[in-house]
Amino acid sequence: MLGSTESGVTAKQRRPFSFFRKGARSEGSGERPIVRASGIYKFFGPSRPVLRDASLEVARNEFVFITGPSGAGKSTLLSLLYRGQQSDAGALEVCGHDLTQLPDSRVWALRRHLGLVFQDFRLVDHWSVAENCALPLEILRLSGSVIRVRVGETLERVGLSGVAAATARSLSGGEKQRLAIARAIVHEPKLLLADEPTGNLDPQLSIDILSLFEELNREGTTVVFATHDHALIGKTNHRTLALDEGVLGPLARPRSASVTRLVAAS
Amino acid sequence: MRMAYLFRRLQRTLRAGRVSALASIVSLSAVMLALVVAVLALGNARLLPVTDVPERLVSLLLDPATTESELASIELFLEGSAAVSRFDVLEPERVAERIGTAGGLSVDARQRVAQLELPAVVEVSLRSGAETGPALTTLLKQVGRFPVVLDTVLAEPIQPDTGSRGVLLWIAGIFCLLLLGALVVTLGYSTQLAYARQTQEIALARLFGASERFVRLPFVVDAVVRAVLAAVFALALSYGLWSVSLGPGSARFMGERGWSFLSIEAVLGFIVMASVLGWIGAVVPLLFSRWALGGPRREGSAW
Ligand SMILES: Nc1ncnc2c1ncn2[C@@H]1O[C@H](COP(=O)(O)OP(=O)(O)OP(=O)(O)O)[C@@H](O)[C@H]1O
Ligand SMILES: [Mg+2]
Repeated sequence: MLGSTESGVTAKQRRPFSFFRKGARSEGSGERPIVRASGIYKFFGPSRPVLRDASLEVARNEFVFITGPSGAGKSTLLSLLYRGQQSDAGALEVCGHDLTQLPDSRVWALRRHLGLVFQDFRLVDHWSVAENCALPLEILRLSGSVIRVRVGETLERVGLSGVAAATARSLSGGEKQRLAIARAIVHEPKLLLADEPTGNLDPQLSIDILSLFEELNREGTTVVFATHDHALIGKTNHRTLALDEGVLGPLARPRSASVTRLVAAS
Repeated sequence: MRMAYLFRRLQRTLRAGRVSALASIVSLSAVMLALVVAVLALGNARLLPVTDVPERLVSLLLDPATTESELASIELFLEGSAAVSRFDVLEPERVAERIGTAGGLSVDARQRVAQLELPAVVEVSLRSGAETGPALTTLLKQVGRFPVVLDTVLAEPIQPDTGSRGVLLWIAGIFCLLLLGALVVTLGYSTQLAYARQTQEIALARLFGASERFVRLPFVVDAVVRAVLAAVFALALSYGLWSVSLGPGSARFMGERGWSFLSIEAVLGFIVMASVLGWIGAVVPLLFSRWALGGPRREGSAW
């Protein structure tokens, strides 16, 4: 269903748009984590913080799952990372930007490195699929022909090339989800923040999307994937963090069936 | 590099703002017209390029071929000048009656009038101290086939400005202010409606790294387009109204003197009024664009 990508491309070919991300900090030493958060607090009311002393480091090129029950604060954590909201306490650095110091007027420089998949899609209903997908490229002010080619490739990748001209309004839930994903990856972001990107997809399509993300990850994109789909998490062995009662910690992985059987046999 | 998105947004902003831009133009023109009407009604427009002359009385001798409407437009034309205090058409016989009375013709002037043997005399009284005279004479000579007799002997007592003019000025001012208020409300409301559609895509553009300048530019261009259109329309309409108010005879004035027919003060006045209105036409939409631009980064906002 999903198109495959060419292998064996050079780093330059893989990230042709980095040139357009003016205002970006130089990456510095490649060893610096792309996300570095410590002691993060986020309150929405005076009583219970949604995030309590959360600390998180994501290395460049890593693939991290964030899981937790509904209302645990997964979306909130992601929105702190793209500066949709600001934390109430703690240190937070993303893509070399210190988000506690970054003025509002410079937030764009951070966001050009990010690919965002929102839980509620956030598509512009009256735009076509292709127009929605093209938005990040248009903001990077690429030429029309580059945009057309790139959008075509990306829609192909998520299996939406047949509906490129349809309006976003007319798509099914799963198609909207895939469009949101296409828009998040079309500009080859350094860091992909995906909030429940498989929430509306059937199991097979979820796996396809997961492997697409893994493919991007192999090509150099760091992925932070928030989901409560434990079946999906169980299919991989990426680092998984769990949010519970505002506390972020490593997930005690449920043993897979085969391991349980082995344990039982011994 | 093609700024495809910016261009498309500009298109959308202009398209969305079409109706409200029309509202801007119509309401700004209405205000401009109200101002011009007020100015014309109060007879304060300094329409003539008047310069340095002490004369107090000018008589025009009419050509029999002069039509009623030409006469009317000359009258309007002269009454529009701050320098002119009275305008009268006299039968030649009545000219004699005026001799020796305040504001009447001198004997010398009367003799010159009689020599010319013309059917009627137009008497134009100039305000004391008004710097008119030769300029007016030259103008009238140029304009028509009228011989002009300049008479400096008798002074006419100047009518003091009555209070009614002040009251009228106040009424006109209040009316214009009310109209301006209505204009701001109309403009604001229609812009708000036009921009509402764009709140989502602006919030999204910011989420994907659009800079403030990038986000605001289409609104600025929209405002400038409105302002320029509104100012141009207001200017054209007011000039049109003013020239129509002069009647058919005005074509002759215009034809011969072109733009200089208007005093420099009048031209500047029109341009200043149009610019002020154009400025309002730009500022109001920009103020309301903040409504569309507001809040995507604020905590707790929808996006
Ligand atoms: N803007 C806000 N104002 C007040 N409370 C909020 C706001 N945003 C989130 N919350 C609260 O913070 C908590 C965490 O919300 P969040 O959306 O991060 O959860 P989540 O882990 O993403 O849940 P889900 O799996 O259902 O998407 C919830 O209890 C929610 O009510
Ligand atoms: Mg969520």
